Amino acid sequence: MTRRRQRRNLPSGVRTIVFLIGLSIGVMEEARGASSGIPVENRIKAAFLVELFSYVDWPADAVPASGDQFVVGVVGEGPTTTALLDLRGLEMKEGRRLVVKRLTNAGDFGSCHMLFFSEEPGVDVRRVLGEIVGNAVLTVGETDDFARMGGMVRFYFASNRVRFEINPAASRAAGLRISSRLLRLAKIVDDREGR
Amino acid sequence: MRGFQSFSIRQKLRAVIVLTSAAALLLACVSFMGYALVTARSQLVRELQSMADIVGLNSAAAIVFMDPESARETLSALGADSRVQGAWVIESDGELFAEYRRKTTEPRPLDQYLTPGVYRERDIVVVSRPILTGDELVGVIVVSAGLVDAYRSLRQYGVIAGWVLLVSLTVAFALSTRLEGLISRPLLHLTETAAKISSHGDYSARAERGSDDEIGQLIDSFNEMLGEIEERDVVLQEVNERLEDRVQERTEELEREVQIRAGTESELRASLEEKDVLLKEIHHRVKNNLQVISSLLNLQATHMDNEQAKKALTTSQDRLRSIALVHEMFYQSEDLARIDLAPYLRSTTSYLLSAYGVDLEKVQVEVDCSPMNVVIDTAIPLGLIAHELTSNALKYAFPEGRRGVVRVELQKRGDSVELRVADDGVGFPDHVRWDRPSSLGLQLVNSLTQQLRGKIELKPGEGTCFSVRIHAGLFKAGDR
Repeated sequence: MTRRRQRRNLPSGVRTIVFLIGLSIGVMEEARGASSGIPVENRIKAAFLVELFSYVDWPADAVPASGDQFVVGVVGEGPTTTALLDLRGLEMKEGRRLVVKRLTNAGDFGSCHMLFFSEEPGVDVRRVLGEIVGNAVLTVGETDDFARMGGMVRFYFASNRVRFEINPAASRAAGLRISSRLLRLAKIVDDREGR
Repeated sequence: MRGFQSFSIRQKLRAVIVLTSAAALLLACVSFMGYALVTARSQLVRELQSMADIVGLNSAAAIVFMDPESARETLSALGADSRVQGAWVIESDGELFAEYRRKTTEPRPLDQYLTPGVYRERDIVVVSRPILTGDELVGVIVVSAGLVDAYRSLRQYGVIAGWVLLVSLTVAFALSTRLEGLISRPLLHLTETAAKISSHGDYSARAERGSDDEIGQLIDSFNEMLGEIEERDVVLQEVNERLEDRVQERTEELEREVQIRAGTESELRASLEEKDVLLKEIHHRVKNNLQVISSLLNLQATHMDNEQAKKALTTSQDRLRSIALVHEMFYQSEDLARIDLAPYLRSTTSYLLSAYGVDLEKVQVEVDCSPMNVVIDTAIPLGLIAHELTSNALKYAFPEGRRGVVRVELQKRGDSVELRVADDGVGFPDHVRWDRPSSLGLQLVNSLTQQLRGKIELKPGEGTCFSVRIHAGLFKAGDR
């Protein structure tokens, strides 16, 4: 019941993505017998991650410099990670192509537009965040205190919806500008309160 | 329109000015109000569009991130504008995403507004705008607003326009009352002048010219016409006077002529009377002279011993007497030119009866005469013929106391007049040729008949009957 309602409420852009996901899943199941049965919640989270691109401005000198890609680094495993990996190669706005990389080497963490920490990142999130401070990387996570630890965007599930928290201070520190329209939808978190 | 025709020119001008002003003002007011309504509508549409655009922009993220709550909050901000009745965010597939509705606003089907645009309905305007993220359409925002404010403004404009109209018409009426005189005054002046002329017949009156426009020209033409009429009047008067003089002259001439004629006539009448008197006098004198001659003959006869001579004198005396009777009858008659022979014949026969001492118991004389007027030249010979024939009858027809009748007739027969002297006596002696007689009497009868170009015959039968026919032309002048 919950899932159906969530599906019904999917916005068009997201729905397109979800449809593509389903299609690719079907194709890939045939081709290589890949994963199936990813919860809708996680697929929506993946779609939202991609949509964040439209509401965040990266500085001109951000890494990577190549203008035709949107590079998402993924840290840790989980259904969201899987859903995100399924979206690789997606045509995005402004003619960009979605690139999703699994990152294990800490040295590579600063070399993408967005860094996603899954439910089980397998790294010390707080440390990693501290290491990449100053890099223009939008950090997104799923863990409960991600934003309070200095992460910028956290997705969570509440009242049968995927919602998100934003830590504007963190993004500001990274030189990113998050659209007020996005901020209006989010729950604002200040990590400085927690320190 | 008939009522309008009966207005005076002042009223017409006033009505024209006021009606024209009213029409122009009304048109202006209606145009202004129409313009105000259209402007208010398009203003509302523009404002709604910009509001919808702002709200749509702020709703895009809510749609993308599936947050209708946020979208609803955003929409409710539109409620600050009292004109807005409701606002809806609809996803691109037609699903309602978020709704804001005033309590007074009924829910409405929204499918018709999915295509972005402006929808004008009776008293609301609905604006539908796309919601885009980048260039992707994610939904539409629909905002509906009432035109109540616009109508309220329109009502206020209407009241203002009504007042403006009232004040303007009052001013227009006041102005027209003052200004219509510019046109009506000279016209009325012209009319008064014309009326004065027609009632008094005074063509010397002139209308005063006040302006240089068409009315001024009309007045000039009117005055010129009056001038011409006046000139003609003068000429007519002159001609009339001349004519009267002529008539007077002619009348006097005629009167003189009539007087002259009357004088001439009375002179003529006098001379005619004089002539009549003279004629009567002549007839009288002739008769007297004849009587004197007769008396002389009579005197002569008394001194004669010869019976034959005596008889001749007596006969002559009778003849003179007969001629004298004609003259007597002429001077006694009223018409001196003619006498009626009938009384003459009666008179002469009765004279003969007494002259010859006829026994009236034995011989009777009947005179049967139609009235027959004759001139003296006919009367005397005819009278002598009748005298001779009658005296012959009395002397010879009834010898030795014979009884009988002598008839003297004068009748018109056809184109001749017949004198017939007949008796039933012894008859005309056969041995006497009546047409070549030896006696003086019958010779006289024959010669007098010839003188009158007549015919004499002795009618056969008992007694003696002489018939003398003469042409009626000799009587004609006197025949009535």
